[in-house]
Amino acid sequence: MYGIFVLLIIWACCVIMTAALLTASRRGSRILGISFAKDSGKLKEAQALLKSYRIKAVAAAVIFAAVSALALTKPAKGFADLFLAVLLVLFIAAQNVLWVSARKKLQALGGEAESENRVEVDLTVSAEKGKGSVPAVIVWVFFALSFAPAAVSAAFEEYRSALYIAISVSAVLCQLIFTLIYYQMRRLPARLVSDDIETARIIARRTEKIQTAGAAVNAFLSLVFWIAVYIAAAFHYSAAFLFFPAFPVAIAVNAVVSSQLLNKLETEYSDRAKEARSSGATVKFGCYYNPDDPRVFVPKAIESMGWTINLATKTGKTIFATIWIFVAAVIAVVACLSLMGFEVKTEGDTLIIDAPFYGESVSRGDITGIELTEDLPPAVRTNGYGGSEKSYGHFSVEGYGDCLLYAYNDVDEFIVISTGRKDAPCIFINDESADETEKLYAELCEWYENDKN
Amino acid sequence: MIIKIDMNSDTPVYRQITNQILLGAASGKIKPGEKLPTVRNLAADIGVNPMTVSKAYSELKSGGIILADGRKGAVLNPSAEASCLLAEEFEKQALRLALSAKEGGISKDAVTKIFNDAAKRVYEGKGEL
Repeated sequence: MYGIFVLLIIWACCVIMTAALLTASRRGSRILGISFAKDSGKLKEAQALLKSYRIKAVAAAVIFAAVSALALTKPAKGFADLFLAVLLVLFIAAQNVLWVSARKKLQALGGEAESENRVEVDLTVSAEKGKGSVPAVIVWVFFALSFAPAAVSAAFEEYRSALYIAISVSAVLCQLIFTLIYYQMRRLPARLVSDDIETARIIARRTEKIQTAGAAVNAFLSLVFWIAVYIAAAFHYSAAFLFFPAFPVAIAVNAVVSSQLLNKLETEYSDRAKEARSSGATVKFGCYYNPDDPRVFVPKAIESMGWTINLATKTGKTIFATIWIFVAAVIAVVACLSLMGFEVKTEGDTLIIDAPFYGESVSRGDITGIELTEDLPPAVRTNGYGGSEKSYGHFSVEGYGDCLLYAYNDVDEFIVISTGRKDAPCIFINDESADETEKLYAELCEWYENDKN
Repeated sequence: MIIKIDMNSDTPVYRQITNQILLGAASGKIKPGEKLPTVRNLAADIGVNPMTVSKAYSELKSGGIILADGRKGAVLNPSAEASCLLAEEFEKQALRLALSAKEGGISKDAVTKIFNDAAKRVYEGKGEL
């Protein structure tokens, strides 16, 4: 079940990212941020290139989804987390390569790259920024409601056993991100698509309304998603999990609708002839590169896609390196946790559990009893690792409190070591199979009994 | 009024903003009392740090060209005094330009023609900057 849940989250990321790329790839006569004159014959060739790009982007997503499903197979189970993390990074890199190469082909076709280093702003339109937005109070209400799972668990004791701290905190953090995205949409640079002030004003207001409404709908969908997750987890209502795939689909549909509305608006109103501009800007490692531009953060040619870093600046290079060091560190930690297992051994009077980041040793004198059980009560991870094959670290186990758990997920038998320690009153351990667990239990009992004798 | 900022220019961005708002006011493209964008909005639209726009606004405010009111934004100073200040500022800039033209060996007639052409372009809308 855990593996399927992780895979669904990964697929959700894949669907949302692909939908965002596809919908942002065209705005009126701008294709992938490259402008073509409306009456130009090259627009048709550009449309053919766009179609080819879209097919490749979807194909990359389908291949990614199919390959990622291999994580559920038996041979991949031991390193499924690492496999998925690496695959996700490769998918993002592949989409970036497809985007950059399609842009290069469009520029070779004669399109004008919207220059990021020459900016035009209509002061009248800029002064009215924020007036066309959907009211911010809506997203703040959604944010306040995202505290509901935590509040219900805190207020009612009967649900406290199912207090999924991770879910409660994730819901709030996720909702906060969607609230910040709403503000990001409000602050997106207003593009000049008309020389007529009134028309420019209308377009700016409508654009702002479409973008902020899209962000508010996403915030609502996120709220519904997390409440469904909480209901599924707290009430053990497994059918609610079937709802989860609907979330990325709804986000993708919302992105498509917003994009269509923006596209229609620009096609209807835009009357501004594009100026041919020379730009010293190039693209390096998927980022903006212009040594003459002093800015570190530069808006992307397609506004809704956010900002990019100017890799020609020292700060830009530092940020870029930091991001990739962080990604590499995350992959290294996931690799370490999923590839390395835990080992239980005894050395003299000490029981040693050797595990990356969560190793522990207990002296024989601290142990008050060892027993074997096939009935592990519901446990919630508080600080530890939960992979598809094994889980270890600090867990809150119903009826036992905060315990240490070192478990192979597919094995139902557990050795319960009771200790007199307050920080870990119980340690739950098992081995790769039921037989191995029973063998380990016999060894531990013998070691423990030796002390009594 | 449309302002154009060139990120590759040797002129700092805040100076470009200041100059273009000054020119807009002088040419009547921005009317006295007209509302200007807030620092955050203009910074977001240009794609620069709000400090850059804030510096430009501070300079315009200290020169009496605009009246800034915290988060509400700024307006072009409608008072007659502001027009005087604007004229004073323009005179200073024109003197600086004429001086550097003389040092650069440009003749008086050529300088006069350049100023006349520039005024024609701005006031009669015969071309952009």
